Amino acid sequence: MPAQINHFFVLMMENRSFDHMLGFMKATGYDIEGLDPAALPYNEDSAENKIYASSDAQYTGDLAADPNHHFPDVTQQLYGTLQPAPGQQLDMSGFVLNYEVKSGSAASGAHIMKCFKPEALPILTTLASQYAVCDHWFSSIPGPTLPNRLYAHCGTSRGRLDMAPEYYQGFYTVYEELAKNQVPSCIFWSDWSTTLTFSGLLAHQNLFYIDYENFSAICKGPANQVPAYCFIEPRYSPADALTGGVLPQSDQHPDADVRDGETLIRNVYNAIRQNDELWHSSILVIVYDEHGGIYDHLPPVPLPSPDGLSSVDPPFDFKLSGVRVPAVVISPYIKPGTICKTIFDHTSLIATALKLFAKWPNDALYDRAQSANTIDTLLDLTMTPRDDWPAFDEPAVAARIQPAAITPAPLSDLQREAIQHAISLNASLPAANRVPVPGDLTQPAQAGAFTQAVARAALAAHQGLKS
Amino acid sequence: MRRPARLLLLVLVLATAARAEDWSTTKSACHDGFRPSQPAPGTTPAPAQRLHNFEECAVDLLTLDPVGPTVGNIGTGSGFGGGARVTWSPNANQILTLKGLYSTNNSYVTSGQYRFVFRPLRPIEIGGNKGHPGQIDDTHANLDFNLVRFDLAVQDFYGLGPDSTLAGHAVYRQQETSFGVNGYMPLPVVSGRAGIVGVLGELKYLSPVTKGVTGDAFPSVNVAYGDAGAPGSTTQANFVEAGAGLSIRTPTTRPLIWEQHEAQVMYRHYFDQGSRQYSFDRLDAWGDVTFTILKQPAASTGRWAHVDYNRPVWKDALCMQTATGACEIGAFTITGRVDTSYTANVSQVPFYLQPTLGGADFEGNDTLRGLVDYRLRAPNRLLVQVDFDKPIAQIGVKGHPLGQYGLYSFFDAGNVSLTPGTLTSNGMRTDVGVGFSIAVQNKIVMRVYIGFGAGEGSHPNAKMANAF
Repeated sequence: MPAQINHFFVLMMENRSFDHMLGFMKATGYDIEGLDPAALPYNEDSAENKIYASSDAQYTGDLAADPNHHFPDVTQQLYGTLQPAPGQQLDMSGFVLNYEVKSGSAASGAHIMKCFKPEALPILTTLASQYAVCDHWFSSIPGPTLPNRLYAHCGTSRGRLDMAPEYYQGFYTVYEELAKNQVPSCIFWSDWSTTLTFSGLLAHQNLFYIDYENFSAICKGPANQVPAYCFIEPRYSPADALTGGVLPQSDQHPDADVRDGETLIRNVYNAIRQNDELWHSSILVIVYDEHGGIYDHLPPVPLPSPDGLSSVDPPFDFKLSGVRVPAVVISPYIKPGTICKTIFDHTSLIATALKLFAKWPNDALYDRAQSANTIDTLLDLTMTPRDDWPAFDEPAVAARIQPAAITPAPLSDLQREAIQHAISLNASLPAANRVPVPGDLTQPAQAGAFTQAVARAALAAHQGLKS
Repeated sequence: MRRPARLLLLVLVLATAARAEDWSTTKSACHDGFRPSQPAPGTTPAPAQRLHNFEECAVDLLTLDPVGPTVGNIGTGSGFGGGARVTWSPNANQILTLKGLYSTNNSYVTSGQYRFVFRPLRPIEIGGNKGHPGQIDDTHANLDFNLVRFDLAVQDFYGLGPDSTLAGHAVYRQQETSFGVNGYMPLPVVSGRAGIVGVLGELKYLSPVTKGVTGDAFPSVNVAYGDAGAPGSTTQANFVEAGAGLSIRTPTTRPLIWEQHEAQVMYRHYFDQGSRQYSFDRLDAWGDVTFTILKQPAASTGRWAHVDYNRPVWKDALCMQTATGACEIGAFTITGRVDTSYTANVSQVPFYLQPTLGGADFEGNDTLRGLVDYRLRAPNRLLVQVDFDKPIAQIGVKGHPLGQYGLYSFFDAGNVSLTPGTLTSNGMRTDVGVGFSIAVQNKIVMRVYIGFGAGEGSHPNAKMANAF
């Protein structure tokens, strides 16, 4: 009898791109869409010097000036110019130029290309290699935190791209939809939550919010007292402890020390993992809200508009994703070394929650969520649940479990699905944009290359339509 | 406008001009408060939205980086002040904070702090079992360099010792300049499931000055009491203060969900830089423990415990339902505090450095709430408090951040003495009272209470916490 998922946890960190955190995990036998040391991508600075992606990111200090990531800035990062020509291709060429202006010098502008060595982030990279890494998870819009997080809670930003605070009236959240179906859900928060402006949640604060300090103890208790859908907020600002010491910012937003976010990730994983009953019925997703202006080499992809609402100034139709972000999916029903190339955005979170626990399909949270790929497809609920406990030491101390140690496997179900998805998407494209389907698609690398080519073609087709 | 206030205003204007970008963002938020922008497509404009814009304007102003206004209590009896704040951080582990507050009763405090934050020597893990890893407490060490200058226009004094009376009411003005360093380091070796143990240290130079108050209804301390009744009221010494201590508290990742505790013990030596007649030592210890009383949900074999989204308000007032299906009846907090001072035969503890009982003490902590602020003062103090806090309703005005209205009742018992040997529980003053609180984001930001039963009538009081 297949296992049943009763708990879906989401830990959403802040403002880091996929390449920045996980890109250098790419290795022989671990063919993620990352950075190949033999062919590193680059951006040019204002003096036309080539600034290559590098694996020398520091835990703090590189990005003292917060990189720009509002819509106009992301436009420059994607196209290399603030005003792209109609039909211009996304070439991810403007990150250095944009940060050079923000940081005030060419030298510090180059920091935007810095990425972490895998061993510098032992918690995140160990979990990624021991469970599933999603290398095609995109932020929902090419913009800042609030609208991206809105997609994670509501499935839309209702035509908004900005950080203005009126995200307040008229938004209906996944928590309310779950409650309508008698499914408990909550937000574990430390010092702040972007959901604190949602009137529907504020009307039942006691039922939708729990202090994160209680998270481990609640996970340790009876599994059926853990809400079905749990969204975990990091600590967004440091705080003083009354008896001495400082509680650090753990959201990894630049320029917070990334190691403090690693500790949070470790704690969240261990809190769930400590209770076998809970662990055997859980999925944990670690994902970042947006790229925060930091370099990634993979262009955004076309996605459906959630509600047909567009932004007038700046003009945007919400049919393009944001920049790719790190995403790791953890469950006892996922095999080590899983690489998922399915396209996800943050609406995949709410789609998965509704699919697992409520009515599905479900249009309550708009079209993009209704058509989003769901994360449960990574799971094999017929397999014996994994009870191994990956050993990871503290950040900056331990060596990551080398992905090279993972035995290359034939195509997984997920990869087969990805290929089917790509074939389907490819067929829907204009003839001029279609990618030839290879005769041999039996190896993961081939599957990855094909799905990527289709994604690029779809993007190019989308740009053509826009123009 | 007094000179410090003018200086603060100048700093505010200059620093704001230097970071026009942040100011521009704030101005936009505030503009929306006064003249609402178009509502998001598909949404309905509402008066509450405008209220929310005002809130965001206030929050933006109060968190403006690197400079902005700030508000807060200046000190007991010195009122609620407003002023400017400057923060600058070269990286996540260093931060400079400059702050100045000025109140309507001519009191002010200015402070500067440069903070270094360090990771613990090694991680402190708690809650693991059966060889499985637990949780990492993430408290970091800190080393702070501080500079403070304050001027409190009118402070109250009723004499020293347990037998002082309301009839002895006098006043004084207190000024102080101090600078020094303090730090905290968690100790991985002795920390664990029971709590996080850390060492504290401080070294400070302080130059206090007390003066008479002109135009007040009550006489000045230096006139009414002199050095005999209020040591140090006519001449003040400069001090070097050196202290060390230990603290223990519940880990940030609690192994026990419904109980939390914290305690601290500090030993300080105050070294009089002049005649040494005011040199003394002080040992102070405090601790509190909180027990939250929960009613667990009925045992269920379903996927999740039942949560009632249509629960009547009155039921939540009795027992506040939570997302786990349990409901919270209330929380007991027991607090204890002991301060003892030791002097050589020829030395005395200056009155302005003696702990107090009544209302709130110099640091704003509640003491004997059935007495007026600073009512009892002596070199030694004993205080026990029991509070019962009960959430009665979530803050339901749309647009407000997460918070709760609460009722609380309390019992205080305390005593002061002129010598450590006479500090006993005999003859303790006691009071009881009830109050109302507003909590926002887990912090009590306002409390109104009335205390009585201490033999000096009832005392209504209202306290504001610094919300930002």
